[in-house]
Amino acid sequence: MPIIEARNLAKDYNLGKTVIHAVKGVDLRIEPEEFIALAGPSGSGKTTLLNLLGCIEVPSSGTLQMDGREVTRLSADQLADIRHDKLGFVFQTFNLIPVLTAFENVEYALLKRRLSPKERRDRVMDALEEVGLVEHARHRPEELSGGQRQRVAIARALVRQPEIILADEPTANLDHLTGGKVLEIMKRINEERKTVFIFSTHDPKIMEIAGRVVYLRDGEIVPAGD
Amino acid sequence: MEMPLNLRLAFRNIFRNRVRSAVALAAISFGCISLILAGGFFEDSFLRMREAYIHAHLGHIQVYQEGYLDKGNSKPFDYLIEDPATVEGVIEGLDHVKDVTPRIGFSALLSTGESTMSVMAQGIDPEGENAMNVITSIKDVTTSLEFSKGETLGKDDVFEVNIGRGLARALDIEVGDSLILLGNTVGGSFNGMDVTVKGIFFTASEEYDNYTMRIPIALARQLLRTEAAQTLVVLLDETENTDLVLAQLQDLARTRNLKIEMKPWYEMADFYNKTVDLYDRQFFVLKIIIAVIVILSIFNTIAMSIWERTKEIGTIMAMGFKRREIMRLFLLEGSILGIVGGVLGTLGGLLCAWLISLVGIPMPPPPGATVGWTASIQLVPGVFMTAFVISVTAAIASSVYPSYKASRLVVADALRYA
Repeated sequence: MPIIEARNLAKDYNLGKTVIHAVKGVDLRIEPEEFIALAGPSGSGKTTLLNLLGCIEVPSSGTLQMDGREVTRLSADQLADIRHDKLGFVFQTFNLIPVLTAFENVEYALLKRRLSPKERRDRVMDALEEVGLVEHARHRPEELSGGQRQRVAIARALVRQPEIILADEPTANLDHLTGGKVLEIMKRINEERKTVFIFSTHDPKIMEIAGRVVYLRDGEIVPAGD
Repeated sequence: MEMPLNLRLAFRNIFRNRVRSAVALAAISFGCISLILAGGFFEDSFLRMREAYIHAHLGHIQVYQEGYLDKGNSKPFDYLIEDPATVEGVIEGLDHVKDVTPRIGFSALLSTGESTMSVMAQGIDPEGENAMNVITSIKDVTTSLEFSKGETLGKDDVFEVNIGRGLARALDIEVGDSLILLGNTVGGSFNGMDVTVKGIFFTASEEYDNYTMRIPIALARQLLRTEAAQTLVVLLDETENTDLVLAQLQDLARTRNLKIEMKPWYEMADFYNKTVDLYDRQFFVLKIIIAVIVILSIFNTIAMSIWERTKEIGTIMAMGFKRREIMRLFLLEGSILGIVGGVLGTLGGLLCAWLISLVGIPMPPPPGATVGWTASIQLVPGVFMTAFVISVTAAIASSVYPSYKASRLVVADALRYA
């Protein structure tokens, strides 16, 4: 069974008199353990599609199933529960909370889980170790480099052990070398933990290591070979 | 123990923009200080008025012969305490009772020879009454009954009297003048005495000063031809003990079968009660005005601090936090801001109240009174508590709308926010 299945998924934005069709009737199946890239030029709808798959945007039409469960008609709170239980996010601009340390940023993702302080601490440290940032646990984001910040963001996404991590242009704000290291970490996590990764990207490096690349143009999936 | 992460985040967010937070805290503290000063000033006015009434006229409790409260007005001499010394002795044995002094009041005519006026004569025990007039609980005040001319009655005075200032003015009386006091005896016959003016007094109540004269109770008894007392005025160590002693007295009257009834000061101080009621309403309006000012002052600050974190809100929501959890986070920040502002305001209020009380506020005579006073700010726990609660509530109220708006954001829109 696919972990995610989108059927005829569409998203329109109503800008006064103009309607933008950002995603137009996309069909997509994502299988467990996949490492998949949504690629395409700016404005092709890859971020919108990623947001739809991540339940942070509500589709205008079509259906979306997660583990066989239809999610398009769920309430905001039910979607929040799905995001909390199944999904992790990594953003282009890292989106760390500036007043919290690296440790606390990761810990924040566990706030709703009923864990003992020790258990929570261990899980946060495990996640930071996974991305090689244990020694920076007490640093605030402003004291970290871009690559380190993104690794904290990965640890934050990882700490809840989600089935799927969605990453929106995760290397776009990083230099080539740092971006490469971040990708290596993600690939390793995918291989070791079998976590599904879905990227929106136009980084050729991601496309190189991705198990599958889905190309989008004008809100539609471009058939392979086109 | 470590502070919960949500609380840590809320605290740090408050101090994220120090200038802005300082302005918000200043607004909250200012509101809190204003309430403490206004409330403390009102409480001071109440306290002075209350103590002046108690020590000048009312005492804390007045004890009468049974039936006096119902029918005493029309037939005062039918309801006299015939053996006042015994009842006095019993009351004096109670805890918190400082003094019990007898009185007998009657309508009389006071004549200078040229003019005559109807007056309210009060037969008093000079020693007991002088002790009652002393106020020890208020700064800058020593007595509730002051003399513009002459002096108060003493225990050896027989035919000397004290005259209220308004009454003295109306009859053009001076200290040392001889007057004729005419009244009905208990038996109903007519009687008269020659008296000498020893002093002209004034109290907090102009009305009292316009109609009242005080004479030694022995003279009053001689004039009325009775050994009884109409009222036993009970003075306590603290006004706050009134209800306690009243209950004890009621018990005592029941168990010892004393034919007496009693009334506490607050059932007699009509003007005081109305003034307190009026001031309380004014203070209530003031509380609302200050709360609204605080809300309007910090609403923008709180809204700004929330809007500029829109992307952060999106990130937290993407992590699976629900709308009510987002709202709770920002309301927590508002509460902390209110609590910190309230604590600063309380400390500031304490300091300002102390400084103002040190200097004093010169006040004109209140309505119905003849003398001004120097007001201070009373430090009343209830006022501090009210000011603190209003500060916190105003801060939370200011956070409600921005928090609600933040919690209704569409996650993807919030994440797109630059």
